[in-house]
Amino acid sequence: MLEIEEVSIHFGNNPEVVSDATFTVNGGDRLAVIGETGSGKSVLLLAVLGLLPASARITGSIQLNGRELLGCRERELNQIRGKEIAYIPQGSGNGLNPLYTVGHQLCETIQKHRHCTRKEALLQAAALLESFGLEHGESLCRSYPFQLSGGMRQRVLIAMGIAAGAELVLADEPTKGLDRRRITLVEDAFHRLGERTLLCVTHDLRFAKDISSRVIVMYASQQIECGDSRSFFEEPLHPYSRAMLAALPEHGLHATMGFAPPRRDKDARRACRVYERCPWRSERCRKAPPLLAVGERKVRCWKYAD
Amino acid sequence: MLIEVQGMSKRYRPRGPLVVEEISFAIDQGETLAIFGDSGSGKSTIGQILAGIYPATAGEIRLDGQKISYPLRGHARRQIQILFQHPEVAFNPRLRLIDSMREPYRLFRLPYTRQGLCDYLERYGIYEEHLERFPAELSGGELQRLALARAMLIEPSFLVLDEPTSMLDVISQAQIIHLLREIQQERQMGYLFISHDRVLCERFCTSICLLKGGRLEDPWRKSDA
Repeated sequence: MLEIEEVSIHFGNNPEVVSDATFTVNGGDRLAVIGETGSGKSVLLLAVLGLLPASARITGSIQLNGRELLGCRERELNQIRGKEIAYIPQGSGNGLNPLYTVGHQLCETIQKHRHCTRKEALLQAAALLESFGLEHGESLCRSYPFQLSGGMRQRVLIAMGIAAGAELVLADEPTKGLDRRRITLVEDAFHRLGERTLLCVTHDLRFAKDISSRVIVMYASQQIECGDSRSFFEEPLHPYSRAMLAALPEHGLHATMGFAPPRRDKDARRACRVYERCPWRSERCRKAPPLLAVGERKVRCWKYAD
Repeated sequence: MLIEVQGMSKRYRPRGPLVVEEISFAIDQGETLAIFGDSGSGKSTIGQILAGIYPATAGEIRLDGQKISYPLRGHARRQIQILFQHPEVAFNPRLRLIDSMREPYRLFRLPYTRQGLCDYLERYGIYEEHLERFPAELSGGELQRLALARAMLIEPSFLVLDEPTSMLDVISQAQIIHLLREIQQERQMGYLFISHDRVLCERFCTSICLLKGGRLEDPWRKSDA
């Protein structure tokens, strides 16, 4: 469904924020892209949506059902966004306009992509909200965003994202800033997406484990590991992935990775990007490793080269 | 007892509802009390009253047995510090971080040298190069470590930790918790840890209280389990 090939993104003359991203999202896949803040996850999502600022230079190819998205005109992209690709922004509520009711905002999306009256759109909006576990859809349509809790707002955003019937759903940190109870509600809403294809960016590992079938780990703008979700969470391969799982409270809050250096000099830029922080580093790691195949999975670490 | 809170209540408007009601707890040196609950249950209000950001409507707070009142002054102001959920708002966005870090030296008349500050920040994983940047140029984890370093500069005995890791990735979270544990062991500090993550509270704290609808349930001690 979505093919991303050797996509690199730069802003001005700064180092790349996404470097050679290559992966495919097949129909029905539920792919979680995980990694720390600033690893390039969200920028990659914006690139798929064609929403990067003019200062961004992007190379490579992004194809949706065989159609190249890079270089598409704004008018074509407007037809694709919403109708073919849904976007769910972060859950802090910034994705909703505070001056309009939830119903108004949902109807706007529905009427933009489907020919129907306002009344029909409102009925569809209420039904859609109820399908995501929000009770009393009609009265909820009359509410303003400030009258809803964080978890409700996030579920409204999910409903709004798919209101136009898109099959590919992109979600950007949908659980950020929510408490555990509300995250559970959002997880439930994601399970209700059914057969839709999902590409979700998150740094919440528990959430990623719950909703995904495949995982990509990004670090310092590079993909460092990809594979199916179950084997990743049972036995991560890359030392950074291992450190992430060991740092989870339920696994003992172990801080096994050192602090990131403030800047990388020329020699360091030629090395593996995790070099300074890696507990396994060796002389070989002074050269950047390629993405190596380990069975069905891929990992960017020299340890798996032999 | 390092901190004792007795019958603390808070309403934000004169006839408004009580946000927290009859809260009582005590934290000794070397102890970490977790207040755990959903968003909107009043957790941050308790932390901000203790840190002297708001006055309580009723009740009293004692530090080392001495009653303290709003606004915090002198000894109490120095002994109680707070770490916020959003580290980016804890620093002035228009100041380079070196200037923000100089503020506690000026306010509390500490002897300042640039080299001394850089040496001090080493254990927090912050380097001289970071200090020349603006807050927006650092990651959330780096900024939160810097915020912790700034709070610790004046050697407080009690820290309010208001969801200090909820916006961070898991590795940054583990680094902050590791630093907090080390500091607590060295200086026998008391912590009030506010969080909505029960598993994290169980791992990090000596006792846990559930805050529900503004009321605090009895603390659950890890050592009793």
